[in-house]
Amino acid sequence: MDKQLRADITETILRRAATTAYEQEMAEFINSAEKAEPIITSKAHDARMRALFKREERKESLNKLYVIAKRAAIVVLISATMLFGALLTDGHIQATVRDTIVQWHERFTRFEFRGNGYEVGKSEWFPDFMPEGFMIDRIYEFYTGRLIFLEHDDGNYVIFGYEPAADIVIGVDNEFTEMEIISHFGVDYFVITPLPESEHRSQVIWQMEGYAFTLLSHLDSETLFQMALSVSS
Amino acid sequence: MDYQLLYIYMPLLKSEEEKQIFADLYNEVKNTCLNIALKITNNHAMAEDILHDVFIKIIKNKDTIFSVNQEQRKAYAYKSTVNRARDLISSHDEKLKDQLDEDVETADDFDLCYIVEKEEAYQKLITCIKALPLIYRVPFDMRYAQDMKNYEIAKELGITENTVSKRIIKAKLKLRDMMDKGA
Repeated sequence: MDKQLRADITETILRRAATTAYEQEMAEFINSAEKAEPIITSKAHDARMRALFKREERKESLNKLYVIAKRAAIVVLISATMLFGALLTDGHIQATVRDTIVQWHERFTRFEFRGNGYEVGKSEWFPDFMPEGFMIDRIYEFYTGRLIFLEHDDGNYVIFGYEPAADIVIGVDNEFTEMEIISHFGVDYFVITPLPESEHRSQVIWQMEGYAFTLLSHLDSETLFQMALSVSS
Repeated sequence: MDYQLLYIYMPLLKSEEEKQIFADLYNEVKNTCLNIALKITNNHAMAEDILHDVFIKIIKNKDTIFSVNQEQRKAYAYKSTVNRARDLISSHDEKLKDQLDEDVETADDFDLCYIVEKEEAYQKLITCIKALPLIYRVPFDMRYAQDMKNYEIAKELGITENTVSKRIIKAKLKLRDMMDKGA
């Protein structure tokens, strides 16, 4: 008999036998499973799945948030450039902290960074210290910066972002937060702590080696500050 | 009706019609799927994980699954449960996995033509297939009993197409040995 024909017959037999074996087993599984007592799923399992699905939902909302944030950032940048003169006479308090101009307005604080002569290329930065259980969930790449989402199984997350300081202005809601400036080895860290009962997130903003950095999370600001101190390229 | 888990899945579905189809399917197959998974794994936590995976898979493939009738959907859920449970169990067998990563000879000389019209030998082949170690059996079943392509099996099991090919060849070699020696 032709070799190819023998191979075809063998394949056909295998297919038929595999199908028979599979169908027999499936029938046995289904019959015994349908007769079995109902199984109550554990509370731990329900909670784990709830967390998982919350995360799935949050991924979508974070995507949306990111798009909105980028749009808002562009609007803020354009508005800031056009209205800079007006802002200076608009009842705000301005301070220059080394390389960063901080403007406290009624409802928000504006951080404008000076590039300070740094020629920045494409550097990669990351915190060496991360609270236990956090993993990188996603990374958005820009030409010279990044936005990194770190996520924990319990649903907590940290957003770590950086861009060349000359290109960025950061606005922070200051109605429900307190800000502290901590200097460490010549770098000024703006540590923003939400007021008790507030829904706001902790944030740390700083400028280092020509880059502006931010860390944002519902974690406490002390932990975020520890992460900020550990950031290196 | 058990709403405990059902509401968790609902946010992933868009229309009311999809939600209704999903609710009906969930109610019909949940307990059977859990029992099947429990029978294969003998582990309650693992069975719950499998149930979860199956329903995620159904939602991800909802366009295809929701277009067929309820009986076909149920069959899909049961089949997915068996595949997932067996895959999960077999993935724990690290020793076998190491062996599978080795290069394998071809199974070109595997010839079953002598079985034609020999009912006893054919029944023996079925018994041998059922006795295959799960790590061989899962991709073998997907190829021969479920008519899946290698790239589909690779995607389903999270392995490369090359690994799928190797495992199917190993399954055939194992079957040849079993048929020679007796299951």
